[in-house]
Amino acid sequence: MKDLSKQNFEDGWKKAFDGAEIEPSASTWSNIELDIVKGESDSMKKQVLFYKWLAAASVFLVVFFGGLFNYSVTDDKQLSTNTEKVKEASSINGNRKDEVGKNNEIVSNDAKSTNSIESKTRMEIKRKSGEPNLIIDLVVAQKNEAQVFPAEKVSANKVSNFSKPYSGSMLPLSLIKEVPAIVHGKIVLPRLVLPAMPAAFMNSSKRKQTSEDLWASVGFSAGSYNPGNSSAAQSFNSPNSANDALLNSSGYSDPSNVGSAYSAGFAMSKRVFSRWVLQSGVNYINQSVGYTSNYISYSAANQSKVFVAEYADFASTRVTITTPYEINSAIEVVSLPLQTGYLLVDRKIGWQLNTGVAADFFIRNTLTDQSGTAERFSQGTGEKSPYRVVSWAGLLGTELSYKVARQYRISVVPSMRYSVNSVLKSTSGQASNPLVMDIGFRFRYIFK
Amino acid sequence: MSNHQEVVMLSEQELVRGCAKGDRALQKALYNRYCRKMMATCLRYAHSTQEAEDILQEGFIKIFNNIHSFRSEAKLETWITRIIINTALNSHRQKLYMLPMVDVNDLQVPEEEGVNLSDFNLSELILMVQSLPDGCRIVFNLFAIEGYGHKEIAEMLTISEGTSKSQYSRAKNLLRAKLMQEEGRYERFK
Repeated sequence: MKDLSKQNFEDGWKKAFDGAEIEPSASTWSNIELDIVKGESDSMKKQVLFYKWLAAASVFLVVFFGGLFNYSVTDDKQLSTNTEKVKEASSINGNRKDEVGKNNEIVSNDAKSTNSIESKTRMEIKRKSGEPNLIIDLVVAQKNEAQVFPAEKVSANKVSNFSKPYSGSMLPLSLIKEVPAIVHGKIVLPRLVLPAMPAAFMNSSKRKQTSEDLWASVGFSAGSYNPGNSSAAQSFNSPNSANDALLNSSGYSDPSNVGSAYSAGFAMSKRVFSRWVLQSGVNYINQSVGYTSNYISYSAANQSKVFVAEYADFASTRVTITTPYEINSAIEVVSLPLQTGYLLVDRKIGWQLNTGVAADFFIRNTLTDQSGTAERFSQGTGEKSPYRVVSWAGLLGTELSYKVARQYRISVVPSMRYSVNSVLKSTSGQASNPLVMDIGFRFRYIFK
Repeated sequence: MSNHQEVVMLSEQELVRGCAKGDRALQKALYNRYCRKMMATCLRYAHSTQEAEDILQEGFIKIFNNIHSFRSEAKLETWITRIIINTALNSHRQKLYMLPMVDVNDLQVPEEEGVNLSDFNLSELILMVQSLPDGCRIVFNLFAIEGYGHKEIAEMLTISEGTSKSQYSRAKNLLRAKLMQEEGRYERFK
């Protein structure tokens, strides 16, 4: 018996364990991998929740600004209607515009309120050169009826009393031009409804007439894709496993949290109101994501095929558990979108906000073993397919365009699409609500 | 050169960068490189193989989740070992509050008797360590194997320095007794 002295007790143990290696069980890595994937999925769910809020906030902003602009447009229309009323009143009471002359310029001077119910406006009517100018005091009463004022209020050649002319930004000149109507020495003046917004805003909100009412566009886009699987893990102990270490392993197949998506399509857009656009079309979408799976299926010829938990038809498929391997899943979809767009900027540079829905028609999902060992597997639609034929997606995006020629625009389209219902049937026991965030490029042809 | 060979030959920095990006193949490569050493460490802190594998699993998940914070000034193996040990300590932390507060002066330490650890294989030594009570096992590992001082151990486990010393003395005595007991068995077969 050799001595282990007091001072080298620790050294002895340290040396005994120095560089010690013991093989852990084969299932440890599978469990670690599964936990990592679950962690990534949880993290992605938080991100999805963030984007849901972002989408909701964007829709709110679109509605808010849309409403604000719509209010502005309505105001303009109301003012136009009032101007029409003035015109009608002028024609009923005998229009003496001839006295003023078509080429005469009307400048309104100095408006001041005389009391709480009426305001006085003095107008200077410049006549053709050589003719005396007219000065008119207009009293705007807070009543609906047309007001008649004595002609004595109208006097000529008193221009010098009014040195400060009306600024065009305070009251639209086009509106004032239609105001005076002098009948038998009296001015007939209907009620003027002053706009709720400052006139400066009204002037800027005047719509520039545009000839872009109908256009067609082709485009493509690419971006990130998250399959949004709620749970792809399956508890499945394989009786067919040839490997004893795997016999009691749980089967699982988990998509990675981020894949890629690309789409190409055609769209038609029609301006339905001054700033509102309705658009529809057809898109081909390809969404691919990597999977880690330890399922594998066998064909009748005993050839191994890739397999994932979504196709959990274990009764009719020979499925066993193997060591985890990487799969690429490529889902192909034809999408029919219907979107409304609001034109925030409608000039040479355009800025449009879009929101809408899309009916996504599933074509197929092709699973490919990235190592090339197992055979490719393609899942289409049908009674046994875990995929719904049609699923619905919410769309949100914006479009920045530039008019490159009279009939052509090019645009950049960042957008987001989220499947509001699962693309998988409820009978599959799984749920998948894909989220795609992409950026697209479009070429637009404007019909004249 | 096959993909497997390429992965095996990757440097620490390349492995770390790949793992930080979430590259599953490189995560597996990192695991394969260190799992055996870490399993041996886990077995010393656990009282069963199952518990050791649980610690190993939890530890590697922490490693992958935090690998972006690894700075190359430290050695990767040292950083990984520290995480594994911390995971092991956390799994026992509740039990550590139950450690008996025995003053080191109250302990009756028997006279030294010599034993040679080279007479035992690794599995036997691990079983001996695993047979220690939780508190003793942890303090023994931290003091004798990892090389921490009692003051550091006291801070790590939020116990008093005296408790750390007493737990270690107890572990030492228990291990000596076991070694002698086992060696006695060997002597009988000789």
